[in-house]
Amino acid sequence: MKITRDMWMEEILEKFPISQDFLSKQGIVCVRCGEPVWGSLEELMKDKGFSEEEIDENIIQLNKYVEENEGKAQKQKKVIDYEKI
Amino acid sequence: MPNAKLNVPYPCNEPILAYGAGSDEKKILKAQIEEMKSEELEIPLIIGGKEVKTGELGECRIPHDHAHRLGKYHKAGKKEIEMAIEAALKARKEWSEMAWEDRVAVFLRAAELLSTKYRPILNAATMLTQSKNVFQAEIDSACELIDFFRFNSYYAMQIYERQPNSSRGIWNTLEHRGLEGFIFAVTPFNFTSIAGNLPSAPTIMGNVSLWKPASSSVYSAYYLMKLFKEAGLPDGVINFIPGSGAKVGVPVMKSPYLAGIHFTGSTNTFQNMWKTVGDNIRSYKTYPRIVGETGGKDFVFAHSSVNAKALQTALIRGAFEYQGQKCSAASRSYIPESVWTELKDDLLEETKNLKMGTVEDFTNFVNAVIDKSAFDSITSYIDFAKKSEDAEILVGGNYDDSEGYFIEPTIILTSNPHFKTIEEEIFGPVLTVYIYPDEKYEETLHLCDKTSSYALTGAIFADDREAIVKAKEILRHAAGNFYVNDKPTGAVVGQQPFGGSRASGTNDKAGDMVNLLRWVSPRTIKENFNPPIDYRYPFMNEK
Repeated sequence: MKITRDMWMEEILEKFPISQDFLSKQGIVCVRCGEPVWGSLEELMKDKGFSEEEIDENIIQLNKYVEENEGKAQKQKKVIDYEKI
Repeated sequence: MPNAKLNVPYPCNEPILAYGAGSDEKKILKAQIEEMKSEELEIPLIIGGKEVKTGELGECRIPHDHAHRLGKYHKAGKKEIEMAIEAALKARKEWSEMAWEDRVAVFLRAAELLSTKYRPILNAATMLTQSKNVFQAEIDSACELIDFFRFNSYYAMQIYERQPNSSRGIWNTLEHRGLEGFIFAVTPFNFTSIAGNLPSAPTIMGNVSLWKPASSSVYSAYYLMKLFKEAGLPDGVINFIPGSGAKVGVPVMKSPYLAGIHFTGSTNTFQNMWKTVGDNIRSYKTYPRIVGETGGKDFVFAHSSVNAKALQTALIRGAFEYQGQKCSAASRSYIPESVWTELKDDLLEETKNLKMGTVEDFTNFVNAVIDKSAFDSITSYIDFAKKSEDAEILVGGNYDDSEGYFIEPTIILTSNPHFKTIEEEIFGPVLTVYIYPDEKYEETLHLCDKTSSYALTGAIFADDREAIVKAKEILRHAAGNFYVNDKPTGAVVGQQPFGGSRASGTNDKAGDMVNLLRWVSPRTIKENFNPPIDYRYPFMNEK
């Protein structure tokens, strides 16, 4: 397992930026004011009201998501035509 | 100078340079930008005036050209935090006992240096590392920070002048002592002026600081340390400890010598800090002062009597200057149907035409957002809106991070007054508009008041005075900085003291005397020139 409950958000985003997609869908705030929020994944999940079992399950799913999506193009980006604007 | 009662020069706001075509200031700044881009810095920690290198490194990159690295910085760990606390406490005695005039003189000198020699240095650093266009950099890293230094110095004098009354034979005095311990300053990426103000405002009042700048603005913060040094700030008064927020923050906040926190950043982080202080409350030598300015979901509210052109300008400047990355940025707007009909086409056209690109090209209005995490977070809101049936993207909505973290200024129209993007802070160039029936003005004001947990800034646009009065009344607690017919951004030190309440912070108004009062612990001294020599009172002489 790559991501564990005691990892800090800053470290998670630095090593596995794709995590943000998964976590934000769970209502976990990862970035505010351009900065990763302070606190471990466990603390942030507990603040959100997740039970111990839910935390375990979410971390398993998070790792699965990272494994499946890491390295893939993270977003379909439309290249902006700067000449037009 | 013990035998004189000194007056600090009366402060005036620093004039904003124009950087017009062919101007000297533009040539100097452009040269400075090129010089900085041509070299790579290795940024150490600065503890007790000494450079410290840990080998654990972070990077400083240009947001609008992220392949370009401006430097690497060393990150603080547990050992360096202990060193910084020791250095601060060592410097504290001499600094807190230094005559206030001498402390203030350091910051008046810093203001002068920043107005001259350091102006292009700090502006260029801010433009490159935070992707601010020249105007946004000039009003921030030059003018606002100069104002903080000069106005805070003046307010310090006014605080020291405050003395109690004395009766006959008695002399009562107040000594405004610095706090017993150190201040932990945690600063955001988006304003170099705030980065300079948070560690320095408490030090003007005789305190010492540990300073953790945002990881994405360590580069400009390092030049601020050089400025402080050249202005004559003694070693150890401000200790520079960049690094991971939680790794630095938690051990610092667990120190028994923590005397205060001066913070600007996210609500989540601030609440986390407050909780840590609460968990450790029994271990502190003194109750830490907690001062924080956090997020906002700032509004522009229009009445049907509005001047549509003025509203349009405020929306564009308020929402999209510095890519909406201001705590005060307009991110939601309530517009009556009749005005929207008149405003819509021009607003969308003007927004579409906003020029976006690098800061080196002075013709650009919009630049890049700060980093990859911010880019992903902001674009996830845009994607959400694209898929939602409650919302429509009227303009913008495209983004591209291939070279720089560029996001088009985006306006979302929603029919749901509780839509995700009208409630949550996005901190990017995204404005959500809600159209209301003209006759439901008061009802919609109440909606605006209750929609967000934040209360930082907001604006009412109207010509009708009764409508303005009504808005001021209903929105009394919805914003700490409230604007009438002006955009909700761009507070000026000495003119619009800045800060909000509710989830937006403790509202201790940066750049105001109110803020400086948080950094002193007054000692009342009563001296009796003719003390009584008998414990008996006159009433005791007769039964």
